[in-house]
Amino acid sequence: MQDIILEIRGLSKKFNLHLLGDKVITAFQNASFVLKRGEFLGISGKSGSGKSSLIKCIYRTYLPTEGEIVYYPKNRIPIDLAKCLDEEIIDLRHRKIGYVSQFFHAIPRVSCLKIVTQTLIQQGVDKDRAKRRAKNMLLRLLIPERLFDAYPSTFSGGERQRVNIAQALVKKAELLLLDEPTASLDKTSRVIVLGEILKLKKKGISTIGIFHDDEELKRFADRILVLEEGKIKEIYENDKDH
Amino acid sequence: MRDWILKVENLTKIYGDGCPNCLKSETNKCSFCRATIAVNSVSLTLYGGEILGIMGESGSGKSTLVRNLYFDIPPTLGEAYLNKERRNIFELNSQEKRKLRNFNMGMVYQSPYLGLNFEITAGGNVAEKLLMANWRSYSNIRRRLIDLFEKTELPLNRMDDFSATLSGGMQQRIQIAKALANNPEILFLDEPTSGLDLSVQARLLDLIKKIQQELKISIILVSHDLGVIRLLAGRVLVMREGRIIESGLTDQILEDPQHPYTQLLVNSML
Amino acid sequence: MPEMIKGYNFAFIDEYAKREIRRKILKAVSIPGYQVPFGSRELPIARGWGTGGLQITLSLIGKEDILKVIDQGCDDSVNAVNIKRFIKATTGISITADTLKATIIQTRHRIPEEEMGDKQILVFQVPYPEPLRLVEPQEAQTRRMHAEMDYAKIWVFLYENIVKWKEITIGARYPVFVNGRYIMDPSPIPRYDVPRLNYARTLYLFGAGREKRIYAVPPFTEVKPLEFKDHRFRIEDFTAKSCALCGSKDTFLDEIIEGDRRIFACSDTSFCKKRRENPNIPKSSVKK
Repeated sequence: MQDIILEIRGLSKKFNLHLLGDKVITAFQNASFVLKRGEFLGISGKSGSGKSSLIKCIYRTYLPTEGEIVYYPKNRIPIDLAKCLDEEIIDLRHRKIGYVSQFFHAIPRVSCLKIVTQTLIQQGVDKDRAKRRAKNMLLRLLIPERLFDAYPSTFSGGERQRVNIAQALVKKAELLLLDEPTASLDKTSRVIVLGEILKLKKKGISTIGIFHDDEELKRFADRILVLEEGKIKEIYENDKDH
Repeated sequence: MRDWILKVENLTKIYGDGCPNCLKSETNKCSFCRATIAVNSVSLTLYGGEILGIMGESGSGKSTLVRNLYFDIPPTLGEAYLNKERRNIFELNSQEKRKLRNFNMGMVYQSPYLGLNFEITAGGNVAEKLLMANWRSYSNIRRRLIDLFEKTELPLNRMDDFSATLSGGMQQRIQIAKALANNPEILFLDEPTSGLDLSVQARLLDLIKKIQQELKISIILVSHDLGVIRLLAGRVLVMREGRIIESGLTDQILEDPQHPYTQLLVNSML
Repeated sequence: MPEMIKGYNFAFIDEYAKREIRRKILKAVSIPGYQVPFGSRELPIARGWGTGGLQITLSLIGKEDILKVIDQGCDDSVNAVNIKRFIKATTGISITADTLKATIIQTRHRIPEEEMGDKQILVFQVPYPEPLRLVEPQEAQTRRMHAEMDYAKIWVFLYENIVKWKEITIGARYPVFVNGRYIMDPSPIPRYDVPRLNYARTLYLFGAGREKRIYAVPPFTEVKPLEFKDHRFRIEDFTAKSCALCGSKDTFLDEIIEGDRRIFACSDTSFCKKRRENPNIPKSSVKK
């Protein structure tokens, strides 16, 4: 029996919009599922079904309203991401959990090389090695050397997204959260990005990913979780060709 | 996980006589005794190497809070512990407090008039901290000044100019150089970029980020500007009427604010 | 000189005043360099003319004492002469100009050239006792700075001096560090005299009458001028100059302008006189 890296129990997210007269919007409710170590769990569902919110809750960008997100890091004590200290989340984000958001908020006046290098330095890698690995990853994602010192705020959407992906993939995190990583990429970039994700999967990294393209989803996912109107409709094993 | 550097418990500052009802007051004015509760039972932890943002509007008590911690203003109640110091730092004698202030802490005030002596040179302001730490070799002092000026991107040829002759952005950078002079563990930044031009502000904030990454110093950053907080802070405390009404990761506070006031603030971003 | 005036207490001030001043002197000696406040009495000499030093002398002087009073090194200046007259009129004690014979020496702004011994007391007249007034106008602050040994401001002043002038520009009243604890104003003695304060055999007492402070440097106390390791304290440079009257090359010289002539002469007139009679007389004849 494969061991579990993430266990979600009864997770719900509701937004209470005080400025709109305390209007409550439910993103999703009562989600329960597990992620096995080394597994790729794909999330599919229509727009507005709560997919992004679910990922954001795991990453703690959203505060879960109810439920538990138990994370079992390798050789460490399990921790409930929904309830642990902010400081612990910061630490996990640096070292163990990678995240590719749907829209990349480009930090102004920081070069893309610096952004990627910095994530490695925060992980504890020494400066020179971090720079080398960062350069490598950027090149692999087809960001040319001449753009290394440029600011992503000046890049195209696709380039920005690739920088975003670079900072997540370079980390070799234990857990990877992907929110439509290939949405704004052209075909070539998409193939390359997916190739990198596959490489990580082979290294045993556990992933939860939302993919815009159902076909892509079916290529990678070991299992697929389907969300409909904020509730889990089904989770099924995916029959892959490779 | 990183160790904590500073732990604050129930810090309170009351201006006026105060009464047993003050702490229960909902606003920062006690309806029973008319005292002002500038800081009301604030507790926080600062971890090593992080930037903790304190966000609030005017009158929220955020500046008073850091000035309590820097020993500028004595608190009414509460305790604070510095990692190395087992005792409540507010109970130390004035010599011990001064020692902490000189060696373990640095402060950048909103107004350079609070943090700098305008009757001496820019270098003199920074040298004051070194001289307090018993540096007695003129050439060593000059060398360290050059090092600090370079770190804070201050032009070396202005080192011997009077502080009043430098621009606002430079004056803030002198404050930063001064604050870093004795390699403190904690840096307090009280609205360091208020009133500065946009490009000057950007440069200063980038400098702060760079310094923090290089020196791994722990910073408490007070600001009313959510943009500044977003750029620099990993965690945020939101203050209102002297209390902390919400705390969380910066991205969570900005994308999923819980408290009505926080939602109002986030919604008010330009 | 008149003999003793009748109707006044010995040494003019009453015994209670003497008791207070002696107690304050004891306290000052116990805390080298620390300014002890005292109740400065009214005297028939105006403030600013040495009333502080005078009160110390009057509190300590006894029938057997021999008094010397100098002003900028000179026994015969108006100020010195008046003080001597006053003290003699109220005590009847002997007066001398010989540094080695006096038991109490009251001085304004100079230390006598000859080395004094452990049975003598040197009393300084002090105009401004507070060395930190240079950098801090508020008394409450300077008291706090001394109490907390927070001397950063004056060090910054010295640093700024070096930045602007390449050296420290303070002449007289050069701040000194006493017994590793207090910064003290040695009174407006020239830099030349400052090294004499360090590990001396004589008791040094300082009185400021107008400012109402007494302080002391007991014998064998460390007194160091404030300096940087690489910008050391220097005394006045008299190379290639000598006294026009006695030929001394190792004394502090005053510059005198006579018409269109500029000559240098010993500031310490009594020692100059001794040197005129015997040019080889050493400054130090105290048995070690």
